[in-house]
Amino acid sequence: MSRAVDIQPPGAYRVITDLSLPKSSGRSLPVAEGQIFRAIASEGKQVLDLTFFNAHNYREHFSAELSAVLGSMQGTGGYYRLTRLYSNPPYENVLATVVDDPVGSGVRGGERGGHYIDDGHCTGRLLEFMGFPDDRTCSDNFADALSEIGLRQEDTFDSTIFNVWMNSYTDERGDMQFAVPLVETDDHIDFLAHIDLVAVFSICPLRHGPCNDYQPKGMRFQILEPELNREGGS
Amino acid sequence: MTGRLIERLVVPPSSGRAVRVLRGRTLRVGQEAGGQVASLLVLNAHDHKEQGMARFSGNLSQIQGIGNHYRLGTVFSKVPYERPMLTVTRDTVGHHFLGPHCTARMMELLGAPGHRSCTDNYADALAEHGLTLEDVYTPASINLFANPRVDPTGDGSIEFLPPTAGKDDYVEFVAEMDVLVVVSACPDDVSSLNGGSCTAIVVQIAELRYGPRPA
Repeated sequence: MSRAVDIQPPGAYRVITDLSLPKSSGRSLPVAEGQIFRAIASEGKQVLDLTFFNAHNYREHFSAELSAVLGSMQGTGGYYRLTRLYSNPPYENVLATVVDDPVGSGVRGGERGGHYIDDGHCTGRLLEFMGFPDDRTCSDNFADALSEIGLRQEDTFDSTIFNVWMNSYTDERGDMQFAVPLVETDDHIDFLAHIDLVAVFSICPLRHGPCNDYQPKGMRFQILEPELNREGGS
Repeated sequence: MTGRLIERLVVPPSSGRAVRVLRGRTLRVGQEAGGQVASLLVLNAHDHKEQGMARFSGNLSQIQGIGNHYRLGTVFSKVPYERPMLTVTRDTVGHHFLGPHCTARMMELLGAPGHRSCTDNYADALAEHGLTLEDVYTPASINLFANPRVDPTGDGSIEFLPPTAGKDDYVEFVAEMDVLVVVSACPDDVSSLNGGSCTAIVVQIAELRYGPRPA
């Protein structure tokens, strides 16, 4: 079951994929072992709902809360910041490591890590209960993104999410609270793939409340590859 | 218990069992000796792809004003279904944990590699219904009687305190659809999750007893 946990990224990377995506959209992107998946808040305060699948076995996928608890036990993360992204039982492998996270490291201040690690994204039922039954949701975005790799929501579990830059928390009573993201324009976060992965994500379309600072925005994404690989090195 | 008792099952310490509960019936999950966590998975009895969400059910319950991440309201199924599966009707404790059950990796980090975990209990119980762990959404569970605290600041680290549930405590649900409920009597006697020792969980199912039809 075990795999190496601490893969150290080499110093030099080059961008091999660079794309800007519109607000309120979903997408899947392959990320090979050793590559970095980078998300950039190119238009400002915006949440990215992100999960990863093992590219060779879609039954193995990121498990948000398991990662939060395992991170807490190791002193490397929790519900508001993560270092190691574990997969679901029975696998429990490290799929990816966060190798650069200025917001989570406290550059933008705040009382918390600035992310939200949760088994949930915005859905049709959630928006119905909020009084906006016809609004687009992350659920719609994930349905689109999953279809790109031949999956349906019935066949998988897209609700186990690294809510990147979602500045929410659970208060002492157990109520979920919401706040405007700490992230600022052009801040980024880097995920180093430990195995061949598919990143599946939603640029959250929620327009009500502070999650996206009341205005959904587009985002930019990059795949980076170690320089050595491009030059034939190992 | 609400209704006429039709089934009583004792889930032995550190083991897992699955029970079917028909729509409209009452499910009671209770302590035998006290201080024991019961982790639950909930599946549509006729379509196992429709499965309960744990923490997100807390979010939906919070909007409805009937629960949150610690206080259980309604268990909803995952997307794209998002339908009520179980709703709490009585709860003598009122503090639970909607989140991961204990796993092999957790036991390893607790210094007890190879120790039995809820993952093993679920695997055993699911196998009796032709299912594997990969077929279900774990590790997000309805961890009844678990007593954690998530730090609202910093990294959001989690601390598990021993359960406060005594031997007479229970949670009662009404089934909103026909469900298969997988119950793990959590085998973690390493951390404080079960107060350092594991005991049984008592599961009871009842159907409503109607009075005579009015003349």
